[in-house]
Amino acid sequence: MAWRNLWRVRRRTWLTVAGVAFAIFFVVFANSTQRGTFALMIDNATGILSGHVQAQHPAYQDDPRPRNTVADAAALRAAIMEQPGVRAATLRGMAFALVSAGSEGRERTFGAQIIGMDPITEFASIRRPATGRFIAGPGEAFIGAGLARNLNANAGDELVVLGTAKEGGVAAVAVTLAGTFESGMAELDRATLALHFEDFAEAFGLGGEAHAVAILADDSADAEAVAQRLATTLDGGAAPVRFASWETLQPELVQFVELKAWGSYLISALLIVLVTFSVMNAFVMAVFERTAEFGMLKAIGMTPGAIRRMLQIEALWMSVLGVAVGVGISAAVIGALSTVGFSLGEEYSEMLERFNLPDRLYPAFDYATAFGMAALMVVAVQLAALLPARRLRKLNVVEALREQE
Amino acid sequence: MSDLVVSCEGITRVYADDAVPVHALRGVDFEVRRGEWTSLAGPSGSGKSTLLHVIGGLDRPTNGEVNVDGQRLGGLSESQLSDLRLNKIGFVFQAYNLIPVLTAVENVEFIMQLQGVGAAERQTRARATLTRLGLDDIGDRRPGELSGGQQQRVAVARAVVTEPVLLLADEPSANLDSSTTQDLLELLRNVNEQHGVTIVTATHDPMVMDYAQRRVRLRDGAIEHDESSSGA
Ligand SMILES: Nc1ncnc2c1ncn2[C@@H]1O[C@H](COP(=O)(O)OP(=O)(O)OP(=O)(O)O)[C@@H](O)[C@H]1O
Ligand SMILES: [Mg+2]
Repeated sequence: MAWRNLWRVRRRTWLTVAGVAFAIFFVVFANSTQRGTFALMIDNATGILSGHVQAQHPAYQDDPRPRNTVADAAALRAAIMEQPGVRAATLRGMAFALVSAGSEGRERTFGAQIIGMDPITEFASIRRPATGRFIAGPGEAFIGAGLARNLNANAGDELVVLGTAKEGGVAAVAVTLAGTFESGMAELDRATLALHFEDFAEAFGLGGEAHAVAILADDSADAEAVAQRLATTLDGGAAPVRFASWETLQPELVQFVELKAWGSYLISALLIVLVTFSVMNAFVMAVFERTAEFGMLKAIGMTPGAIRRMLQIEALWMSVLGVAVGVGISAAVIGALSTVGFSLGEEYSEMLERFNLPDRLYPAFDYATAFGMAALMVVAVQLAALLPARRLRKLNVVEALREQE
Repeated sequence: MSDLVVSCEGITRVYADDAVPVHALRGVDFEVRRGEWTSLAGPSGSGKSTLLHVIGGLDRPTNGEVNVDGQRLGGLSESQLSDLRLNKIGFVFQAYNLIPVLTAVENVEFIMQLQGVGAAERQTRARATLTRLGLDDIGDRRPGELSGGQQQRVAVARAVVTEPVLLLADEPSANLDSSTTQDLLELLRNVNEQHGVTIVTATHDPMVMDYAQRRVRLRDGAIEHDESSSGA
């Protein structure tokens, strides 16, 4: 009976169903694309250099001087590799230095971030060369395409790196350019030089130390937990070490993601409130129009509670229908887009470039959001129906019956 | 059990919401014997509907006592009144008697569903009642597909399927022409005579009054005249 009552004022039922369906579609779609974008963004932004977690000298984050190193780095790396949730770990030396190229007289010099990395264990996505190849062993360098352009250097050319060593002396090393990379981040491409960790350690006088052990977690979302677990299990080692997740290492990335996420939460919440109110309005109208009927039902012995339950069941059917339509459309649209992909358009192109994202996105259906929204909308519609249903308790049968005359 | 299905003593009903209180009933003493068909008559505003509502437990009198089938209504809570209406009283109103989304037979079943009667029994009893009242051919139609007279007759079926002690009908023929009124009245007579259902109707319609065995005329909220056709 409740089901049939839905179809008395078809337009209103469909409006309610459409409202519920739209809210679900909007939120599920936004989350499905956003989650995918965020995960990609984070993986890219962290994978390029920092890793998901880093083991550093406790002071390094705030004061990245060459002397703030991690002692006995190779042993620490081995210990980290043993831990659960860790996919990879690699040693890094980091310093700022001047890079020169070109024959005498026509020399060009630029400042750059120098990174000593182990080509065997390194996981940074900048390993993918734009020209030439990644470093294979000591004596080679791999630099950003922008820096190569500035230096006017090509694969095979000699580069000289000049900086300050750990203990304050001059650090100098000559390397052959093996290849270049393009990360999509212009600043990075303009000012990064990677060379073999051994060359770095020798030139900068690291001994057995490193500036960081970069760690890749199984899942970027677990980075903070992995960092904390490492901190507890590996505490009390030879030297003080601080484990920092990408959230700590790149606070601006966290901010960016959070801002975007909150923006969509806010819009979603607004939409849900809006839909709930319009459903409430529809129910108030329906109850008002059916006063005579409810009066008759009460007269023949139906209790106000039973009438209210009938309305709640009507509301339930309505929301279930809305959920079915909303989830169905979301699944269909997202399912289709997950194979074809779609472009986010102009507004996002800059962001995509900044985080080295592909310009087509392939969203994955977000089951958690779909389930959560379905439950939320069912509850919201029940609440929306509850308010007008309360009027039934006060319904005066005699007056309701008189209304028909 | 007493032979009186309804007994009212000193019923007054005053509507005090407005500035000037309206005395809809001013001290009505009224009894209905089991098996009797009584028709309330009187000019508009004389208090017919109000008296019917008070007897049916839809409205509470300002003063006085109402007993239905030996139960004192003044002592009952809202939900007990609701139970009484469900189990002992059948109602037929002027209009809007039926649930529009249910078929005739489902409307008749609905009241038994409220009583908690099982689905199979509901079905057989509803069908049987419609058949008995000559309405079996329209059982599967919805109210919108029925004429006014057919709707009223289904309402009677709905009202009597629970075997109530009392059937109250307020202007049941107001929206009907004379030939469909005739059909409805024949049906009520059948229900009254064959099944012994006590009936109280409130109406302006002389045809309805003719069918009733007893006519009670109200004026200004008081009984002016009480006449039985058998005694006349
Ligand atoms: N809710 C109310 N508030 C105030 N006065 C009311 C209310 N309901 C009924 N009345 C008044 O009570 C009196 C009796 O009304 P009632 O409906 O019982 O008359 P009736 O005999 O059924 O009339 P009709 O033949 O028109 O149906 C009328 O004067 C009416 O205006
Ligand atoms: Mg009346």
